[in-house]
Amino acid sequence: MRIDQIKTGAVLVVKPMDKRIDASSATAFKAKIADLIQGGEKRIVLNLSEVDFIDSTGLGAIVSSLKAMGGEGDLVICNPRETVMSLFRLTRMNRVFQILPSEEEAVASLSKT
Amino acid sequence: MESLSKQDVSISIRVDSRLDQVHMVGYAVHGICSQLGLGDIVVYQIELAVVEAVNNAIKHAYGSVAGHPVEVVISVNEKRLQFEICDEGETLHFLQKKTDLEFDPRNKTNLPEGGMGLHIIAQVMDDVSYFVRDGRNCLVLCKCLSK
Repeated sequence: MRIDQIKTGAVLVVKPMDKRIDASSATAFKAKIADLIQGGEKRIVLNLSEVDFIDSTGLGAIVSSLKAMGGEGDLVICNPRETVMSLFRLTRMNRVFQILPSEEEAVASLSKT
Repeated sequence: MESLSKQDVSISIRVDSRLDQVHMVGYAVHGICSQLGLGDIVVYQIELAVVEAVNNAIKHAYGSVAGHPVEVVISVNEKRLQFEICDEGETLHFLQKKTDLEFDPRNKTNLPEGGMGLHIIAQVMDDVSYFVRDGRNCLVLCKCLSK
């Protein structure tokens, strides 16, 4: 799982560069985000602009990442494709995550907290 | 279930019970659905439902053990798309039950990390059935094309 990272102030932007977050890659994705959280990152933007496909296992890894923060920070999602967004709607996870159309808005949102 | 006419197209894909092969099924489903003129979101959701079904076969029927066959038969006619996902592993009786995905979105500690696949399949597909025949478990997913 290839993931780009950019730190903007107190916010870490994480951008998966693989096209799919699915059952074969979800474990690696989850472990990578868990490492970042354990390293002290508590404000994370997950930029999904490069991701074409997420299945329920991949979504579960994203949920797990949010839960791993233990209520001390937040994980905001940005730039999902409409197709990927439909997965969040199908599972009602769009009511759990703050999902914003651009990275700038997501960083600004987390910078306020 | 309707029988398929002579003009039906049927394609069979067989993969090993490894999660790193499931994307090949996904690409095939995506390609076929795209050719039918379905919208991007519908194509994505159908691919998603079939991928969830294949993941279930690998994870639960075979316990994530590689070396076993999963066959996906895709049939299409002017009225419907049908996907038959078959394995020779353990019969999964829970596939015959309806599943609801109930959770409180404000309670982050209790958010589900799994168990969403069947809910997705039920949401996306118009008809879902599961049967065992000659030692093979088959999950059949149908999507109506003429509404």
